[in-house]
Amino acid sequence: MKRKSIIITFALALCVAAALVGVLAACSNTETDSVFSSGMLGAQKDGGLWGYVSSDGEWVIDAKYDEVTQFAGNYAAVTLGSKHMLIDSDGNEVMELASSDISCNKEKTRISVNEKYTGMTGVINAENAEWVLQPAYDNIVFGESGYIYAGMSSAVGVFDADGAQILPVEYNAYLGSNADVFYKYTEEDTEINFFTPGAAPDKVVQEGAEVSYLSGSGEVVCYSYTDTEGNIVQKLPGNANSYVEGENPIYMAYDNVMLVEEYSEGTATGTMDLQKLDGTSITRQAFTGATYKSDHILSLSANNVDGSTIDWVVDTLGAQADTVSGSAVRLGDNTVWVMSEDGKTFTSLDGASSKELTLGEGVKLEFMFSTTAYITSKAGVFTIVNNGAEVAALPLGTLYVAFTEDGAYVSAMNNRGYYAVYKADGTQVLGFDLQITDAA
Amino acid sequence: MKKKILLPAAVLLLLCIALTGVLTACNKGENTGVFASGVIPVQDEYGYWGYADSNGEIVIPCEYNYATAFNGEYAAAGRGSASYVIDSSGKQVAGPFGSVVLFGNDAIVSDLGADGYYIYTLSSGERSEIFDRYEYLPEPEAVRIETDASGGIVAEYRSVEGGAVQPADENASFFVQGSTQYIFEFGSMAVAGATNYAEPGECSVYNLETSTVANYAGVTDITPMPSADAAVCAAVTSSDAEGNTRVDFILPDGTFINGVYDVSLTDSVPGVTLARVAYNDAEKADGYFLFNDKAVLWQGEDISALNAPLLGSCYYTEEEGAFTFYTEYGAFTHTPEQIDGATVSFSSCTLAGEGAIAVSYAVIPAEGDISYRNVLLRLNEQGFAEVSDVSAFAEKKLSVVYVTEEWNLIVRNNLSGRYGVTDISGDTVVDIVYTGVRPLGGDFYAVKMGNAESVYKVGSGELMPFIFTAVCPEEAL
Repeated sequence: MKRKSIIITFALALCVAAALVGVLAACSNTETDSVFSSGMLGAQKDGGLWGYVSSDGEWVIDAKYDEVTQFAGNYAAVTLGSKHMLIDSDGNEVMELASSDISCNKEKTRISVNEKYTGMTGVINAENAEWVLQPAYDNIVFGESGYIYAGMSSAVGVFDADGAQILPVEYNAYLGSNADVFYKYTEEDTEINFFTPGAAPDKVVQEGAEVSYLSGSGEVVCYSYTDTEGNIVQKLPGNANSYVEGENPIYMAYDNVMLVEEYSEGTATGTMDLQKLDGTSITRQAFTGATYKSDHILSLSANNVDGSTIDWVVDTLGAQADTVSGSAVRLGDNTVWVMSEDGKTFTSLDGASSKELTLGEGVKLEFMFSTTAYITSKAGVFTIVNNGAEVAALPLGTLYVAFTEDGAYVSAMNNRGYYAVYKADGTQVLGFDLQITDAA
Repeated sequence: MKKKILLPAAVLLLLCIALTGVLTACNKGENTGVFASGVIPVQDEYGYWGYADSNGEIVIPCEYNYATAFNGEYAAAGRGSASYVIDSSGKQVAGPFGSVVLFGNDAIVSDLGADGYYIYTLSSGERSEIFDRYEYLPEPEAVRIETDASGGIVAEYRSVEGGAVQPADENASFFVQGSTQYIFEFGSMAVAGATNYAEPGECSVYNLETSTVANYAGVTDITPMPSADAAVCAAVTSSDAEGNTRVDFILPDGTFINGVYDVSLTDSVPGVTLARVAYNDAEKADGYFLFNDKAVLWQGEDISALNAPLLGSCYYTEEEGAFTFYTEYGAFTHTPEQIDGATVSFSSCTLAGEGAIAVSYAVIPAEGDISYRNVLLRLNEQGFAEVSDVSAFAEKKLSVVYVTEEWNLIVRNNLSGRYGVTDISGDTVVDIVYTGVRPLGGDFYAVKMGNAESVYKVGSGELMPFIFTAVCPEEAL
């Protein structure tokens, strides 16, 4: 029963968190500040117009706009009637735009905007609003390591953060969870360029190669070609192995792991190697069944030599696997735990650590960010628990409470539809009295 | 001494600033090609038209609903129901009129709220007599003016030459009297007359190029023969004093075909019509005529000599390895490079701008790989087809969309969907990044980026920022 209620509140809480900080996700996803961007939060006042509140709990830019986005660097995009514009942190109009659709890079140093007259997309510097890439493109996507991907119809090019061209706008693109791949066909070969996070760009020229996603989950990009013996060979960026049809083909990929089949003299042996995408083996087992859940947990059954079966759980994001008994859950902090039947004891995947929650009489567990930060409720009153202590109790009338994605804040909504924000340590940052009904 | 030399320059600079107010206005703008009169019509973000110089600075504010380009001193611009003739400073030198169409120093205008038109000479303010209707014929440049009279219409043709509407030629005026009246043009021919089976009338067939006229009496039927929307030829039925019926089939270049009893037209190729003529004489075989609006391109009795249109784009014939393509622009003959034992297979022939066609074909040798060719054919003044091989463009993912008068190519990148201009050898002349490109003549092109347009000059790039919704509209009369 308890397990079920956690799942339900997870979903609800996720919705709340998303509403508060999810509308223009590209600019509010940051590892440093999930609620305040450049010290401000775009917020809707009492169900009407939008403005900005500061982390001091004040409305610093009046709620006079029809639409707003979160700040990226020094600028945000707002809509006033039919006019769209870029404003600075004092609320001054800096430039008119064709729409308030903006996106920004992870570091919030570059913003893509639609220029007012042409309606085309370009990139500006988030510090001084100067053009870094002229508005001549149909779409812009910010890649890893500061790269800008700019597209004209189905042709894509790559530019660095200062607008210098790395690849001309003549490539096809596959953006994958493991790498961003840009390729084009020449007379005989395929030229493939890999942009992998944390590594220098790499290039491969292979006759007859095709780029595609591996079957499975998580959009893992690979390329394949037929070798001189007529076998299909698959290769992955950052992985020196060749996965050959009839020898060691990739069965499926899940986020950061993959199952590789083993063949002996042309027949599958039934053993599969669970590998990280770079080819490192995690474990080799006679895996038989695979169930993949949306919280990036893969459950596998494996046959032992004596005929018994054993359950495995794989954290496909963290690329860790272990044998477990019991069901695994992924908490808000992205760690994976095996939960006990009563929902109170959590054991890490490798079995090394465990945590037991102490819940008093009539206390319900509402939302878990981590094993030390969670929300409980008793008789309709929500409490934020952090590092083993109750750090804040929310007022009566609060309906939903949840940690933000990064666990730095807790957002709450009351029965009047107003939001409040607390830091994870329980300090209130924004109160229900500010009449915030939605956030950018 | 040195001081004396320096001072005048400083004074000049100060004068310049004082007179124009802004230092940048001293920048010399373009004054050639499309900027010959210094300004071009531009449309602002609110949809209003005005004029700007080549730097994009507004010279005549955007207050009009339409504005034509300047031809010499004058342009026409309208606001609401009123149209004006303006000069390059924006001064309204004539008007308000109900409508204005400029022909250099003359204009055909109508007064506000009044019916009827007249020719207005801008320099003198002189007005011609009033007429009821007119129609501008761009090729050859002429105007047909009609005045209603009792029992019919007085129609006349006036040519437009030297920037003025010339007085009518005595041959060019017809009184079309009768119950069913016709006046229509096709190619360089015009037919005016009336038909009435009970009371046969008169008909005049006028050649606008040569100003000659052929008159018929006893006309019982005039049939304009249309292809798509407009007449491409005519059949005139008349009977002589003895009651013998005669049908004349008239083609756009003035060819008369007599002794006809039936004509049928096929129109499967743009701008080219195939006519099958059956003669009164049973011993005479049917005649086939293939023509555009200027000339008969091919004629013969054996229709099988004419190959069916390539993908609906043009008819062609072959003679000893030379292929002749019959198009809206004329007949183009091309002999593909001969390779022993190879056959040539054409895949398409498309119109590619003023007087040019793009032809794709495959050369299939007895042995070895098939090679694919894309060539551009353009007629020069002598009527010969100039050929340029653009097969290499396909490798660069470029398609040729239009061939300009200067033999430059407006191309489209098939991957990015963007347009630009290259010269005949494929070197880029206008960057292939724009969402649209239009030739404006010479080195000037109108380039479009999303919702805004600018003017691009070869060698200089974009002359003005993208702040106008449209520049240099196509003239529509």
